[in-house]
Amino acid sequence: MAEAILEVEGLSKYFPIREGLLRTRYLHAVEDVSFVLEKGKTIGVIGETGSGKTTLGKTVIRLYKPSKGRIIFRGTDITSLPEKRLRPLRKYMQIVYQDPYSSLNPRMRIRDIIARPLLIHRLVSSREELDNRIRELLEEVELPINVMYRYPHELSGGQRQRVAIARALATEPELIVLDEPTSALDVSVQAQILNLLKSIQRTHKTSYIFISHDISVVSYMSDEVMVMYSGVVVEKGPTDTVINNPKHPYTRMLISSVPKPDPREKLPEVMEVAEPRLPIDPPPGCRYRDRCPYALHICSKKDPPPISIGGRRTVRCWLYSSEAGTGRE
Amino acid sequence: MQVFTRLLGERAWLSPQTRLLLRKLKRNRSFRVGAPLVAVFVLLGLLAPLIAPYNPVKGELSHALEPPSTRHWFGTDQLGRDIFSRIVYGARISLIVAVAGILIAIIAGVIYGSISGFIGGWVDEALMRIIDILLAFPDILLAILVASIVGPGLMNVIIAIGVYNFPQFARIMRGAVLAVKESDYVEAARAIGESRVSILLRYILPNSLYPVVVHGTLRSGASILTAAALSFLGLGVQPPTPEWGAMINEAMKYLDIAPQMWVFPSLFLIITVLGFNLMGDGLNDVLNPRIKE
Amino acid sequence: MPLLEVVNLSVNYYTDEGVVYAVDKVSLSIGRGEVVALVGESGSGKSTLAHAVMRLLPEYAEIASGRIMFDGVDLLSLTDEEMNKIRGRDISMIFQEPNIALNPVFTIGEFMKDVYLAHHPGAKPEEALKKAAELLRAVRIPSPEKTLKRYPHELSGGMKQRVLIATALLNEPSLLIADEPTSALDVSVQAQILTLLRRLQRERRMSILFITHNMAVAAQIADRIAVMYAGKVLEIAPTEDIFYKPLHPYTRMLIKAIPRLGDKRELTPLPGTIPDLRRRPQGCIFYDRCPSAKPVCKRSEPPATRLGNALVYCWLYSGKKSHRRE
Repeated sequence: MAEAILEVEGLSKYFPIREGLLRTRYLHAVEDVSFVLEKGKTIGVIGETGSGKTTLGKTVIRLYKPSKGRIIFRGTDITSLPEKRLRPLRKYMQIVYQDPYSSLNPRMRIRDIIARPLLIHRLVSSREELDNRIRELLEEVELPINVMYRYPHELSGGQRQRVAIARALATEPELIVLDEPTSALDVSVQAQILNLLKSIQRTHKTSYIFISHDISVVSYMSDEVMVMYSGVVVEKGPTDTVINNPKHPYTRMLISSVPKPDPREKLPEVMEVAEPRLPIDPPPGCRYRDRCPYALHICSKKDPPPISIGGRRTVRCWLYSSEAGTGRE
Repeated sequence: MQVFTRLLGERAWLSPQTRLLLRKLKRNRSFRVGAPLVAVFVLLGLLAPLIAPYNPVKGELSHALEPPSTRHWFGTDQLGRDIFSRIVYGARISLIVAVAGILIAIIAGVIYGSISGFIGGWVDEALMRIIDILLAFPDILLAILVASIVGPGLMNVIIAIGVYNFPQFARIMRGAVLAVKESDYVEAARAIGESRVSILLRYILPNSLYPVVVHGTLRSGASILTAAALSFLGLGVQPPTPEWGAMINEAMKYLDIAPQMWVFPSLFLIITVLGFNLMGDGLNDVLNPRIKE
Repeated sequence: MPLLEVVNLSVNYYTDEGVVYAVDKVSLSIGRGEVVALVGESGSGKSTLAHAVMRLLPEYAEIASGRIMFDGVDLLSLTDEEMNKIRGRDISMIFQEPNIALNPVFTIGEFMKDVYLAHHPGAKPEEALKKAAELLRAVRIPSPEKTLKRYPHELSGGMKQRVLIATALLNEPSLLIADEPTSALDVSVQAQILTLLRRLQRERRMSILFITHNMAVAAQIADRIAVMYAGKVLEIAPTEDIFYKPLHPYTRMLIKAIPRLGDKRELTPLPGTIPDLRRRPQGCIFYDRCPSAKPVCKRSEPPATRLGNALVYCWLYSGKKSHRRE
């Protein structure tokens, strides 16, 4: 039984939006998210713009302070830990960003970018040890050693992303949040990076939270998957079952929208003309109800709770609740 | 110096971005005209004792008010002082004033602006309101105000220039810091556990300095002009110190009979300030390229 | 006669770091009512090619050689005035970022009206607005008349892209150039836009030059696909052939590198990186990364070989062994 390195319970993150002098509205970017991540496993987060997936990833590693809920990392409750006490824990949790052109300090050489986490957490005791460790890391991400003395702008997107991964690996973290790590890269480079990430996981037993809007990539990388819509996890479960047998209407719509690299499998004409709305001071009820072809009366009244449907799967949809009344589907 | 460099993460001045920018600068027309003018000015100032043929302060009364000749290239003033030598030493004075004054403004402005931008919130609001008040004064008036408070003299001119330029640099720096603060790489720095001070010094400052550099160059020219204006008004450098503005002041009584007394200082003022402005324009073009459709 | 025929086109960029050979001797044709997708990764030159056809290249770019025949006329021989008449009327273009094209201070109606009147001088504004509403309906925008009065910032990304498609169709172009029109959109919106374009294309018998880095998107809409790499076209073939019988080694590797939904088999990435576009090698541009490279590949550029309905630039298929198809 693999140990759980991360337990998230009822996590919510709200951002205040000031409108005028008196009114403050809140963007419910993440609402009531719970999941458990085991050592060496990957949980994928699928969502479109405004789904809250990036906010979730950043809140879990405390780049934002949670508004509600709990985060238990390596047995410690880090939900409200002050920065000072959090800092030493940061060596166990890292993040890789989407845009390799903005996630590296343009005025720092590659060597220093990778050295910083080692120096901050005092993981090396001599200049020599530092150099060796940097070389080791560059080798692991398959970058030539001479890259050390270059600046980020001299490297290609794929190379920069490798540097970002090396930086994340420097402190041997147990958890890495990967926020769309390959979305800005070409297909051929993407494949290289994804394989690298998989091999790192096999070697170091690192756990990943893999965030992406690209369902094919998320399903390739993840053991378990969470589908987010408007801040809410609408469906969660083992990747294969969720992808092959989606339950939530949104998940179904999403999966049917993915273009297959096969001219014989054409997308059916999509009638819908709708996009997600930002969840600002959302009224009660399912956030997908305006677009859902199966919406029931109760969907506009009460937030659907996560409903277990067996096989370690949960869905937030009244269609799967005995409470809902009309047994549809 | 070593320690300082290491603290800032060994950022070398000649990063490839900088090298590329230098190449672009060399091609920019404004810069190509302005930079040599500024270079000449700087050289004159630095090498004044070597270039000036005569003592700029002591003159030969017997040779007063002479027009330009082979002995006195720019002629002499009412006390028989060689104008060319005074121009050259005047360049030195202006150089000191501009550099020192702007440096004070930059250092103070950078510290003020980066703290304000970095801390944010109501601290930022309060600090910026003070800057707004200072900026509400028309340039020259503020300089005159300061000068009249601290009194005349070279040191005080420098202080006046420092004070009156400081708000602009504070605002520019704060703007740059605010922009950089939102970058991914700054957030990434938090994620790896960098302390706030470290983030400010290693990540934010090095990336916010360009606008300050550009502005510094532009303001240098303006400060030379301001210093000259102050001296012209009698509030700045006092005689017998040779300063272009002061020289023009002294020339007022001899406008018709000895035009060489004001022609040369004015000419040099114009050319020098023009040089700085062109150089600043060139820098601005290269560092803030406008997006073409 | 094909509607668009690009013959031996080369486009160079003049940068601070030297000349970049962005498009190198590319030939391509699009028939009437046909959809051709130009697929390639960054640096392939696909976007440059599209901009060259519209003669919308930046000032530091130059068309070094070649012809662009549109309906029998070489676009490169036209004056700016003549080209302006064609651009926006006979050939329309839509881009990746809808925000760049839409001026935030004008309403949708004002914007579309201007585009219409630019090519129908003397027409009445009411006529323009009527046509605009008609097209907004065609692209399935709810409440077209109300939308005409809206400003761009009031619309979502997908809506804006629909507006731009509607605008591109206002003057009934025979060729639509779409430069990554769905790359900035969410996958569900992308599906909506792709199927919309497919339907509109069928209804109007319009030709489309569709540029994308996403093979799956190309599979959805294209009749033929041209695969570009580092400024050159490597293979042009009917879509089914590209996916079921890929010829060029690059095409094959590209297809194997795409993650497929539900397929957990390890992806086979391409080793190496794209070449420096400032240098034009003597031989095949793909030589450094090609698993099937032969000595001749390094020495000279492969000629075009026709195999059935496909055109491939590869030594594996040329010369005496021209029937080698694997």
